[in-house]
Amino acid sequence: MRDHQPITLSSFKGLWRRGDADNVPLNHFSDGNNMRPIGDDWMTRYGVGLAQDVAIPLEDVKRIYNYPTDDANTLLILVEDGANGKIYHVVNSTTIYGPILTVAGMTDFAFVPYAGRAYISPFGTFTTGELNIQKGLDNESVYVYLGDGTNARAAAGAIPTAGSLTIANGTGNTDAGFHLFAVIYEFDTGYLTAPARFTGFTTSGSNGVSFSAVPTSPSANVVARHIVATKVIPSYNGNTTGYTYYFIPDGTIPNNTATVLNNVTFFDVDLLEEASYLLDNFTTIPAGAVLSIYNDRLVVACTFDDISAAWVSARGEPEAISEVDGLIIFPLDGNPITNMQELRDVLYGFKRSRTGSWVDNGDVPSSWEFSMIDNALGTCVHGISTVLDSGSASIDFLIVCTYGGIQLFTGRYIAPELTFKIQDLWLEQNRNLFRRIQILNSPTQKEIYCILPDGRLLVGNYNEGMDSKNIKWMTYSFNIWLNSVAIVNIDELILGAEVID
Amino acid sequence: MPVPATGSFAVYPLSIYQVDANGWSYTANCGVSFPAARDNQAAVDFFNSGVDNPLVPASGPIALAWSALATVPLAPSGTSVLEMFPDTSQIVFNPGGSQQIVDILSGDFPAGFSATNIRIKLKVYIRDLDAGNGSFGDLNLRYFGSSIKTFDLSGAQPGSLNEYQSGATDIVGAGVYFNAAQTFKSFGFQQQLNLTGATTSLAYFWPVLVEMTGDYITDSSQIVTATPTSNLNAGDLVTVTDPQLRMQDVRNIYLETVVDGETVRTLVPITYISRDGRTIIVRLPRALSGNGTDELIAVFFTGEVSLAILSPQLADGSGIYKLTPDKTDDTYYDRTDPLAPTEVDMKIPCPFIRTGFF
Repeated sequence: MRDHQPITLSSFKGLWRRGDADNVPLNHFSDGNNMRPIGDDWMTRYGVGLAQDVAIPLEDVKRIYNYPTDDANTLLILVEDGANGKIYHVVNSTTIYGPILTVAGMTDFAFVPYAGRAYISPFGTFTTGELNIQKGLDNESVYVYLGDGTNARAAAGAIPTAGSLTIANGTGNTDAGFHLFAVIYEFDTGYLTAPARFTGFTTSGSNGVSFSAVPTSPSANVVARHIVATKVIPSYNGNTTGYTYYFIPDGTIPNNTATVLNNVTFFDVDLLEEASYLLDNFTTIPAGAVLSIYNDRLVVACTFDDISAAWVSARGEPEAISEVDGLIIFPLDGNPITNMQELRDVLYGFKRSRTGSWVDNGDVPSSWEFSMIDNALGTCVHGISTVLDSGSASIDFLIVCTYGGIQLFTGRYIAPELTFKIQDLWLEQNRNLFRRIQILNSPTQKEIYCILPDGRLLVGNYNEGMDSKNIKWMTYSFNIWLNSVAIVNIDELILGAEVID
Repeated sequence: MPVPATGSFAVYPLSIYQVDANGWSYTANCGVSFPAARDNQAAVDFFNSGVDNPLVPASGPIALAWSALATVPLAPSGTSVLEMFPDTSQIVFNPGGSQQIVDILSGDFPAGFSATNIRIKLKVYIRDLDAGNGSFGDLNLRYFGSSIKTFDLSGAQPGSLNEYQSGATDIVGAGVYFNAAQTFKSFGFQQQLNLTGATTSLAYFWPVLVEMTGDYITDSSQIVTATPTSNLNAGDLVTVTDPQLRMQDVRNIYLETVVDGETVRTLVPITYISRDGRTIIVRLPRALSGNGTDELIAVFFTGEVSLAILSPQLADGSGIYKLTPDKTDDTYYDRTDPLAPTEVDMKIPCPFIRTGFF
């Protein structure tokens, strides 16, 4: 004892589960659970309480998303009810809407908020050989929910199909000549259908145009209709969709009831806002396992029939997706697209062990060049951290769950991974259950929360730095089986628990 | 994946292989059965409803084996009993010279049956013996003995008497002990009754009772015990006891659960291992799923062993929760009554840390 040199340990750095237990650094834990760092010390984690104060709280929760509406920070929650998946909108602890959507076989769903609305895509897990993959449900579509408690409906919508547009000379002026006219429905989400009910009419320079028998939609979600027209066609060849259509500036009927619009004056020079891009739009958008927003465009990827395809909407019109040129392809390798995320104006696509990118060149999405970023690392369907309730990147990086660990991604994967110190714990996870991983970043608390497939919560505290050395890892266990995590009101951590069948 | 400790004996209950030339006959209901629900065994009656077994020939020397195969449940530990019971059968020896009857209780051990600390005891009773003069006596009884006929370790056919412990040939009453963890394939216990005299001898079959007391394992079962195995929460301690002293060789213990058809494994902290390796105490690192697949698995260098199937206290605590600052316990939904969920407060599951050097 005379020569004993005491070792002072002033700060513990959390779990170390890498290699042999004999190699655990002095200031790390070989084992631990339910402890949280307080400066250099560690204390018992906070307890969990009930998030609902209602008579029959939701049960068997499968997925939780933050859903920021126009005026509140709310939650969308998927529960399993027999063979059906039901999505509820939880506004607060006492107010719950729904189910706003019920879909048979929906065991999970993708979600993005957009302008106060929620875009929802039901998906499930399918087996290919010994591999579990996630993709959109067959014959299902992307849904839109307005956030007001009314049922979600299929996004996009049907084109005008009934009635015949009748056109006559009215008061006003036009450029004389033959024009094609058509009708577009506008939905309550702003979605514009493809033009339909094409009608030719030769205008007179001394007359405006009057429309009657303007078709109305059977959908209660149609809030307006627009008359679109071509410029003067000197020599019409009979191909109604072969010409460029424009919105007539005064050609809007602001309801879904009136069938007459009289005395519209327009000249070809007034026709500036093009409508032809709507011609090839989906009337229903196929469901995918991935939803994302990129450059104000909605991205839907990994549909039931095309696991390596992503559909990209027109800019500012999330439901306007062209079947012809809205498609981008992640090179086919038998694996599905698992995630899409924007970072620094680049759209990154992920498969389980691939990462690639596209850049919006201002042209149609099908013209975007694909670049492979990494041929070994990718992620899973909920494997990119959302930041608080934003569902997107934080600062200038992504936190990505790869098979190798939780890694920073700045356009390339940063090594060593954040989970360097707990590599063994991470590698123990069953890859076929990576879909059960959900990760979330809370910059205010400086903590990363990651649901593990075994129902525990992995917590990484980066108060002393977000790098592999300084991050402090710990596991939280509960007497419930966690499967989802969300944050509301900046720092309120919401946990979802399910029944394991 | 190992399964919980179960097993069974495949038993050929009786072989009569020699009766002398003077012949014999039998009375009604001749048969052998196992009594109902004796200890760990189920009733096995080879002669249902008193139907006579067609012993042929009814006289003259025979070499006959009743090969009806029965399965007798085997308890993982404690005492398992195989008992032949004579029903109301009678064997009548015809007048003549010396007579002999030998019976063997034989059977097969479950695959991989290994004794670790087992005593096998054979008990026989003379239920009645009438040598023709109306009372039991040794006038006509030339020999009555009991022995282990075979105890085959190698899987070869029985026949060798040297595979049981020496000096234990007479196991009536005393029993024979096996202490080594050897794999046994089959067994045979023999009783032999030799009679002499010219008068008719009337004999009941005698009951044969074989007790196996102690610990043993099979390939598909084991006698590892774990307590408790139900009403468990995350953080609870489970004590695993293994008389085979294997616990000291445990490399890791995992809590395994089947989720979505896939296996989820969580490393289990080992809190304590007894000095002799019989006992290990583990702490449950997470919640149990309650779907019946929560299983403790011990990993050795040579493979894996199932230790226990576990079940939780909280069968359905699903719902949405929030982590609440300064809250010192966990509050869950309890859906024991799904129509009227209640709240239950539970302690935070065993917060702990362990450094690599303490």
